[in-house]
Amino acid sequence: MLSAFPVLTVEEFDAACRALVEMAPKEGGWSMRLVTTVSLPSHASTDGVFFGPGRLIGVFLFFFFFEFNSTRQMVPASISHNASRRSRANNWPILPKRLWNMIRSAIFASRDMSTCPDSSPQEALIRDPSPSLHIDYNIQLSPTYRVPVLYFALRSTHAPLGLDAVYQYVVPEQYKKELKSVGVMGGISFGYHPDSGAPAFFVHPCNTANAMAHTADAQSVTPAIYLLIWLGLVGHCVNLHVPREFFAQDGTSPA
Amino acid sequence: METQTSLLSIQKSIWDGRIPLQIVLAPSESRTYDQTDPYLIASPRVSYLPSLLPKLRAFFSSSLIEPNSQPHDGWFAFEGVPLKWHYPIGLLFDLYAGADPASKTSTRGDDSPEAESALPWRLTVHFSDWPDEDLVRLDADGMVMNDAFINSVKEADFLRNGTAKGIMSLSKEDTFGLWKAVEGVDLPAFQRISNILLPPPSQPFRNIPIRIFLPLPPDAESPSLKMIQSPLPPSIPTASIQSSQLLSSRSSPGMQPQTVGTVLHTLLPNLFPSRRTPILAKPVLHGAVLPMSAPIEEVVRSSAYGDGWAYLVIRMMG
Repeated sequence: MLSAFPVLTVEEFDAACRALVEMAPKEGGWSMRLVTTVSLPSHASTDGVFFGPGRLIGVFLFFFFFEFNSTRQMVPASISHNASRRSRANNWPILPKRLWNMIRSAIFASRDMSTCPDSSPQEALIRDPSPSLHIDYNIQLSPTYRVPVLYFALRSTHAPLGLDAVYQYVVPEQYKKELKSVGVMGGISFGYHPDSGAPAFFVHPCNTANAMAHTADAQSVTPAIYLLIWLGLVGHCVNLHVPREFFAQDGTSPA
Repeated sequence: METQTSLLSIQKSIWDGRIPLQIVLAPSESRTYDQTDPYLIASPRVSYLPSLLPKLRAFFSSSLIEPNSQPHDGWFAFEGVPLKWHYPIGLLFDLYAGADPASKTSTRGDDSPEAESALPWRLTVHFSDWPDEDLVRLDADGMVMNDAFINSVKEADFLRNGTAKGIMSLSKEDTFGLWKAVEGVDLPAFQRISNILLPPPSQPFRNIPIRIFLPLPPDAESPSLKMIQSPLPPSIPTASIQSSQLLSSRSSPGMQPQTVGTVLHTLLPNLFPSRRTPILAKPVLHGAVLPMSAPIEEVVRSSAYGDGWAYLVIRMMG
């Protein structure tokens, strides 16, 4: 039971992030990382769950490696390896190690690389000839609205990408019209990540509490289920789909 | 009523406040390298840097090596640090310029050499090589700025009322008008629209929109700003000892107004061991040291920036 439903307290958000990482399937080419206020971890691993000193402020979700194809649709880079397109919404693409290293390199490119094991970001990026797009998503608790906010950054091997690219490559067709119709520039803004201060996109949180109140009730949700329902609501419009494995764990189904 | 009048007069002084800027074109972008004449302007504290870009682009046009750049390609740096354009100029100055803040105790004419050298504030403008790692790009129509401003207004409104209904129900014209009023530093136009949003003086805010910026470590290589925000109600339960002195006529029994001092002591006890006296650090707003005893609701009602937020910058003492 949540004390301030439909919003979250810092403690509940903290618990939700930890639980989400616990629930995450350990297989597949993606990873989550808990982030503390103190400092970023000095290395990453594919099942990278990090706990450190300081207060937990969010969870990073690392995954998804896209290539532009000729029709300008985004497809997971790993399609040719195993995952079929049909199951894309429910299964994370399983990435070959080389791709994973590249993702990791892209994520950590702006940070301290010296302690990142077996990585050579420049080399990895140069070796890849096709234009590609990497998205990293991050969940933070809004200190104003007290609901989770989904931040995401696009990293491309080409020129830096703006809001146009978000609507072109990230937002699925069925959400485009709805998202563009609200606010000054639509439901997604280009702002700054609250922790790193780097430019990042985010989905507007001002209606999140309402949406949560209509979708769940205070009695039946745990912090983790709150976060999963929220991911379901907000994630879809920016191509972030909760994998089925989350729900397959011992009786923690959100249904 | 008297309070209301003095709050309005403080607000007017703040909107009249200007910072002298000396803006040079980045030498690497100039045909004359570092010999280009600087652009001088006294810029309102509550305004935003990009509003200067059309004038700067025109002023430097004959010097630009890259003649095809647009005004919205322009960005500013201070000592090599790209300045986040979504913060008002007054806040950027308080954060970076290193000027000694004004206070009741400091006497005019007794300014230290360091304080003197902070003015005019020397900035560099670039029209090429946008720092994508640091700054969100601007657009030709100014929509990106407008969006950032309105998002900030929405947050302040949500804190004041506990809902986002106020700003959501504001007409499209007024929403745009609020931004235009701030961009044009037009206080009467701003007050007309902001009075629709603000709860009347008789009705306290639910929470007070204040953001607190911590001092930058002097050796920081990439100075990323550390900012604190926490729900701040206008009144707090009376602390046992100082209750009698602090209890004002406006507060309910058992409650006292939340002051700058109580906020800082609660959120940053190590920097502010006392609620009443700044000992290790001092809070700065609009270039002045803020009294620790100031009730935060009055601070925001009188001294918020155009987006509804009071941005306090913490400066170490000594």
